[in-house]
Amino acid sequence: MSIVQEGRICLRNIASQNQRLRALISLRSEETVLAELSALSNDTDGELRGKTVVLKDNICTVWGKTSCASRMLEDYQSPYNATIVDKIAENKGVFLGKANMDEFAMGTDNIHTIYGPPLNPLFKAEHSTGGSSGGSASAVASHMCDISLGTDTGGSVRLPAAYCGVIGFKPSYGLISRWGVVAFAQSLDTVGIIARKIEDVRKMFKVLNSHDDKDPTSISNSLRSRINTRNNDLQPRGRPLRIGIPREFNVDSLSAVVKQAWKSTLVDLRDAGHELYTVSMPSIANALPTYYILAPAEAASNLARYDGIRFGFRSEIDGDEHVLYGRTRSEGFGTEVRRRILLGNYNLSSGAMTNHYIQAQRVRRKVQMDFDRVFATKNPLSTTPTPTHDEHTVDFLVTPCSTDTAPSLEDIYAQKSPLDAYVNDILTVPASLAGIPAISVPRAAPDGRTVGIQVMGQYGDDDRVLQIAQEIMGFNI
Amino acid sequence: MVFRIYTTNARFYLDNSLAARCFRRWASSKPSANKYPGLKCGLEIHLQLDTAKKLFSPSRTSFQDTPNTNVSLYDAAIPGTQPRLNYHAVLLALRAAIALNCDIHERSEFDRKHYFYADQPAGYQITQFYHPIATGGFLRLLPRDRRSFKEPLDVNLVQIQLEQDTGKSTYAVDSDVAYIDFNRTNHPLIEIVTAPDIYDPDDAGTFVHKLQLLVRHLGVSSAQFQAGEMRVDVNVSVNGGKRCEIKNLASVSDVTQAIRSEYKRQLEAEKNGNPVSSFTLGWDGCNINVQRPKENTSEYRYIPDPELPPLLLSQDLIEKMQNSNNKLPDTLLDELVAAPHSLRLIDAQTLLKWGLIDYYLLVVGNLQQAGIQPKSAANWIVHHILGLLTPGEEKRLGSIVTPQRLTDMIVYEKDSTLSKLNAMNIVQYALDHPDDQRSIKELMKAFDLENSTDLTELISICESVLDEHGEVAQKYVAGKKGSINFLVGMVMKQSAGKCSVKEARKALDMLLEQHNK
Repeated sequence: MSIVQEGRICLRNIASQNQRLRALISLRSEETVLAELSALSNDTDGELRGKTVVLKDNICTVWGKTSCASRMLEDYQSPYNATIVDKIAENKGVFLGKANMDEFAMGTDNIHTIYGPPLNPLFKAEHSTGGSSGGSASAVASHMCDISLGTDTGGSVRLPAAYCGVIGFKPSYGLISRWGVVAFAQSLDTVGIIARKIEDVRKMFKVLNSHDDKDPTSISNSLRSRINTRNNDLQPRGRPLRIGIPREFNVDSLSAVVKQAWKSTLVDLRDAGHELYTVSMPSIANALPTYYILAPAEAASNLARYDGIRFGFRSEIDGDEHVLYGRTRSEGFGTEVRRRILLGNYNLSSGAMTNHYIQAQRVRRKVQMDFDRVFATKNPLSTTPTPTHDEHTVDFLVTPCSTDTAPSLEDIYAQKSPLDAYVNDILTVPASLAGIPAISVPRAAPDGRTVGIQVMGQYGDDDRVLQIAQEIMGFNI
Repeated sequence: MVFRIYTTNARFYLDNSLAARCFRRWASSKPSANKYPGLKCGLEIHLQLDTAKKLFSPSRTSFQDTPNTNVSLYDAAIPGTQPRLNYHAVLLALRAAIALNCDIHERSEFDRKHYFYADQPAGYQITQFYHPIATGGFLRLLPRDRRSFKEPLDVNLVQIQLEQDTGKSTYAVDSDVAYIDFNRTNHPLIEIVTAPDIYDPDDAGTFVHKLQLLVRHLGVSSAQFQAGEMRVDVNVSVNGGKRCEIKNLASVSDVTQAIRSEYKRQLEAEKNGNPVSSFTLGWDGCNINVQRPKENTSEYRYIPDPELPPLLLSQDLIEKMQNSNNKLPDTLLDELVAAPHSLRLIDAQTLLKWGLIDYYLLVVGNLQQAGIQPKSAANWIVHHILGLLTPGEEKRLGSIVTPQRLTDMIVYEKDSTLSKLNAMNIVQYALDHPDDQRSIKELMKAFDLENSTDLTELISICESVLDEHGEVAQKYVAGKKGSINFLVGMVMKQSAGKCSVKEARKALDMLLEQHNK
């Protein structure tokens, strides 16, 4: 099939399904897309030649809007492209539009959006796509595009991928440029890749994985080559890999179907000749509260710029008495964003700073050290030698990505407390805190549902994480 | 008042904060025996660094341009943008910190200080609250810095931090509209915080003035008050009471006067039984006015910037900068008043103030070969050339009246081929025509300014002057010696400045003496 024909199928799927699924919230015109595709049809180069791509709406593009699914930026048009957008265009990927998301990437079920929640194409009844990159996952799952980009701060790419039955890859922190990606919590924010085929993930990763001078957190070229040297030493294949099963991920709330899928994946891995080891990571128990202190604190700071003066929504009344922007911000932000700003500001206030924020930074460090301790490969970022220990070290950790399959919207709205949603992040947050590569791959369960299996590797070990993900994908067939 | 005991954790962290460093200083008290008993001041000084680019973006720093023309996407806090540190600003901050004897930290970090204001586009300012680039240090005030000083006084510093400037708001007079200009946003600043070691308003002024000259000399900041390149806040407390902060003082004399006023205000309040409470104050040039109760630091919600990496300086770089042989003003002044320069202190200070010491030294180097004393170079610069300069012009003096040009003029004047009067005409011409690169000799030829060496012509001019002003000549002869100056002036006038005063006087003396006989 030619790339134009494949593109037409995507456009047809968008036309027939997007109204119901609400996956995409701004679309490029069909003529533009087809013209671009046919212009590329005789080319032979370009890593992404003719691949159709959808971007989460917090990635800045000069075309369309960059709304972050917020009233605050409902009509906002970015004056510049994110670095990753230019890179995809240079490599001849073709953009179809921007994807629905939780407002400013804050959410687990993608119900916090001014466009209405995107729907999970795996279900007939209204089910959650997961959040916050729900639109991106829904678009890939419903064949509206080949590849989509999301952002993953605490699981926002992996969870929607798990719920929607597609692959969701969060690379090591700092590998992909964030210039032009609207910040939620920069010390955690990572651009992630969603696709149906591991080959497409790999291609996109290859295109995006390079240093960007504009991003102060982008890993330097010298560190990249150090990582590559280390990775080359790891290359000898064929030997059995050592797979770790972290005890702490076996949480009480794991559903039977998830547990079963996890178990059968591990059995398949063992049957393929790999070795399984149980490992213990005590700090994981504190990962979730740590995340929910750090991320909202950074978010409260990052979102201070939305005052309606230079861009975005501005309330009729700018300030009450001596309180500036109060109305603009309470009318412009949705409830979840307001809740997290409040939480963040509380934790940064002098009374709570030391006991919460500073403490959380320490726990985060402990989580990182726990990962360094279980991985056989050294963390190229850590300067301190890994403490010696008696336990086995492993190449990868394999866990479930979510406690259950996608919930119905009805069940979500019936939840009593917003904290119920936070609990879902328990399996994805540790990799975010440690900045390590993690991927969710779909695993078919006997009852026909799909469960996301998560593979985590040492920092910089992204390529091998993709390899093992590919192997696990193969078990499905 | 509620006293709290810090937990161990709290101490670990808070002890590193500026607040804690200051608190410890303010908590101690030191008896003072001066005209202002009980007075204690500390200063916070913001200096704009002389960099071409902003602190975290590549836009230019000339904020006097048309409003909002030097604003990058980052400066305007456009979503998705990120900071990139300008290392030139770091080097300037380091230079200042070294000159002020600070402890330089190999690792410092950037923090965000939050508050909402329209000229603060990100909703926070990036500063260094917890781990600044330098702490400690002092500036020594010497007796020569102020006449009433008997002995040196060290003003201790708490810290120096790098930070961003804000934009500028302009309020319309007859409406409630404010206009915001982001050109100044993200301009690099250093904030220098002194310990409360100042017990006399004049010492505060002397400190500010000396610091201003120091940073100018170092090329760290132009430190012009009028341009907002230097801004001073003063903390004042009396008899250990609460301290009040006077914001944005715009000159050295404002600093001393505002402290005097505030001292009186606090004393009076105390006398009347109204304890002073912490306030932020303003100074309108004559009076203190109360603006608002002082903020508690907690309201700024400081957070380590989550995307700026720590600023790491190698020990090697720090040592290299510490050992660079750039002389500091005090060393230079010591040298200039000593042999072989032997300048008057005030002349040396004037050279320093105008940033012309390097220029002076180059001229002196040239003159040495001609066997002329350094002092004459200082005299020419301080007493003749400076008078011709408009403010700011001293910066381009060296490139217009190059050291070579000035050397030539001094040499020609010494050998009487050029009068001082005409030399100044040449200086003025050169300032007005910076593109004219001709040598002094060529200019003298072109404008026919060479002293007439023809003695007969000079004698005939003198004779005609004596003829014309016979009665003045009489007075001189009769003993009114001052009359000679008038006659010399007339000779200069008739010769169109082409003879030296010395020559003219000599010729007149000779003629009058002959006359007498």
